Amino acid sequence: MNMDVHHILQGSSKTDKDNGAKTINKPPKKVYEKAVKKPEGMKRELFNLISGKDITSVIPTDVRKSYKQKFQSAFRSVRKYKWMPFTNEARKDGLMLHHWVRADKIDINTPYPFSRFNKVIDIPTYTDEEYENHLKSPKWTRDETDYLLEICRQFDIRWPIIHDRFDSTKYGVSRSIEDMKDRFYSILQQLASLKDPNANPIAYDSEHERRRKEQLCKQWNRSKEQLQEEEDLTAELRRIELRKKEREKKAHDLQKLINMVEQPSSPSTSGGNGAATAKRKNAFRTKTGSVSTTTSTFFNPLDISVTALRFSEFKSSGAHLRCQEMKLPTNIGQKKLKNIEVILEKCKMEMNPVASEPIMKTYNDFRSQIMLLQELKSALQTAEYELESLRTRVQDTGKDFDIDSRFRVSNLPEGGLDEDQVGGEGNATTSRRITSYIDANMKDLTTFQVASRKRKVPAVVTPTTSTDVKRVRKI
Amino acid sequence: MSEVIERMKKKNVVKPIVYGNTATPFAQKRDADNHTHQWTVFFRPYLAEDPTKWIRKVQFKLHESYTNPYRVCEKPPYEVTETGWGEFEIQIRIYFIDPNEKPITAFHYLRLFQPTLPLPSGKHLVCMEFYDEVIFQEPTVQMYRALQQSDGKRPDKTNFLNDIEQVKRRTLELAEHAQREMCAEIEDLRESLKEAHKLMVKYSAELTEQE
Repeated sequence: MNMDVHHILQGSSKTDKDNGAKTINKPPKKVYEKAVKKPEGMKRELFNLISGKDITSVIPTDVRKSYKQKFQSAFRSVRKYKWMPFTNEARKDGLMLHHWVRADKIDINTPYPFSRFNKVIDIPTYTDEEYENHLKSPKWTRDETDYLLEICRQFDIRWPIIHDRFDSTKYGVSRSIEDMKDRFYSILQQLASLKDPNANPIAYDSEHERRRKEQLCKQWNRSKEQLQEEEDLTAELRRIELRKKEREKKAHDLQKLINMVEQPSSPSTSGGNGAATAKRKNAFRTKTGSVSTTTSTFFNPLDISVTALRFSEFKSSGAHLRCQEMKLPTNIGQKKLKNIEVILEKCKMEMNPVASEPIMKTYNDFRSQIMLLQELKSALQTAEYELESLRTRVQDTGKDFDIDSRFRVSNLPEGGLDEDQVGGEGNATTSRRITSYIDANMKDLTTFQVASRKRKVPAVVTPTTSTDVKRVRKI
Repeated sequence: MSEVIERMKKKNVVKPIVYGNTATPFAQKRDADNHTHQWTVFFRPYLAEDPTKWIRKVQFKLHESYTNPYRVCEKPPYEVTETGWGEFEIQIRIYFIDPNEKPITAFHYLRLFQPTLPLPSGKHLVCMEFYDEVIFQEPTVQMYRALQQSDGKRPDKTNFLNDIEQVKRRTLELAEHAQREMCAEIEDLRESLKEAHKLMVKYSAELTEQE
């Protein structure tokens, strides 16, 4: 057989040669057989055919399960099947059909297994009395209502089919799906509430459905141009919002930067309005920096509020000493520290008193008040300078006014005012003894520069945001 | 592994304490080491109570020039007596009965010259007594019990040379007096500021009118 195939494949000319040189050809053939092993699952005959040639194309790639093995694993004696008649319980006409049933599974009593998939929707019925009393409608006749319910039953409330099959010529009125649904569900609702007043209400809003479909139609029927326009507008809106966010972020960053620069000048401000106070103070200082320039708005004296010192609070559990609650914050400025020291000394108070609770509270409050007094004195000093400059300008116009002595704090004698200068019209109400010890000279110029830079922030931010709003409105 | 330490929620226990030092000068400078004073640094509960109920030990850290600068007292009296020639800050570290309650550190600046107190004998003694309070915030259950056990009721006056109640009273009086003065001045300045502001608005309005 081997030779036959060789004959067919290689033609007659070669065969002659082969026959002649049979003895010569044999040894190399054996060498091939040793070199190339027969792949598993391949027929010996086939392998012999291709041995000694390039066999890559015929080597089976999937040798795990040959057809024979598969066949053998499922090999059993053949089961018997019978051709049996059956009835489908879901049918009402009792039609008899036949099918094959395994001989060992024949049981006449088991119902047809697929009949349970035939779900029948229960559509309620009504009596004449019920209809007369509750279900009458000016738009629907009794006959048409009956017809509707019958069709609903027939097509299992598949509304598109019902709408399609509904014979509108029969009663001379054409009904939309919404009309039919409306009628159907209102009947359902009426009947349900008659049976059980507490039943869950069935809601069908035909008007809403109509509008919804109308809207969908409109959306579907949009032209290409309209679609394009809409896309452009949403893209534009997104761009605007992005720009707005960016601007807000920039403004925020700037604010943060300014606050950071400010911090060293007022490290110990705290309390509920700490940050706000710091801001206002700086706005105020801006003006003090330009005393000579004409400013139409002045600082608001009510704006200067308590700038408390932040003493360490011990909130976590554990033990600590009372005297630690009195420690001044370490980042407090040199000038403030000096003011506190001087005033404590002048009031004959200890710098580090014995640490009972009331003493701790009073001391902490008192030192915060020193900070406030320093703020007030510096503010009043500014007011004094500004009044002074106003006065010179008023004098230029040929008029004059007096500046009360209570406004003069820059030349306060150390130790306070004499008794005859206290009280009375235009005079201070106290001797201002403590105030006189406070060094409230204005901060160096850098503070002003920072403050004036800060003033620009609102000027940059507000107008742009307002145009943004306008643009959005146009859309 | 850290176990959960149970603490007394919302409980605060305050223990008054006093720390300080006394010092007496030598008749003359000791030639051997130039020392001029003998001093004693101490730490005591302010109330008459048994401190061992809640204090495990007290450690004084002296200046590093002393041999063995860490001195530990496991029993009262918690004090260290030494000789020296200079003032320095002493760290007083208080360890509590419950090791879960972290130790706290008080700082006392050793005084050799001031303040002086007259003694009944007519002599003067350098004595500094500093009243302070240890506040246990939400102490551990064990610590809380220990603190309750040693609840001293009245100050142990014989222990101290100063009348500490009077010191406290005087300090508070001075502070409150100064605070009253301060409040009046703050009010004064506030009012003046308001008036000054009114004036400024008034005259600047006049000026702009004329322009």
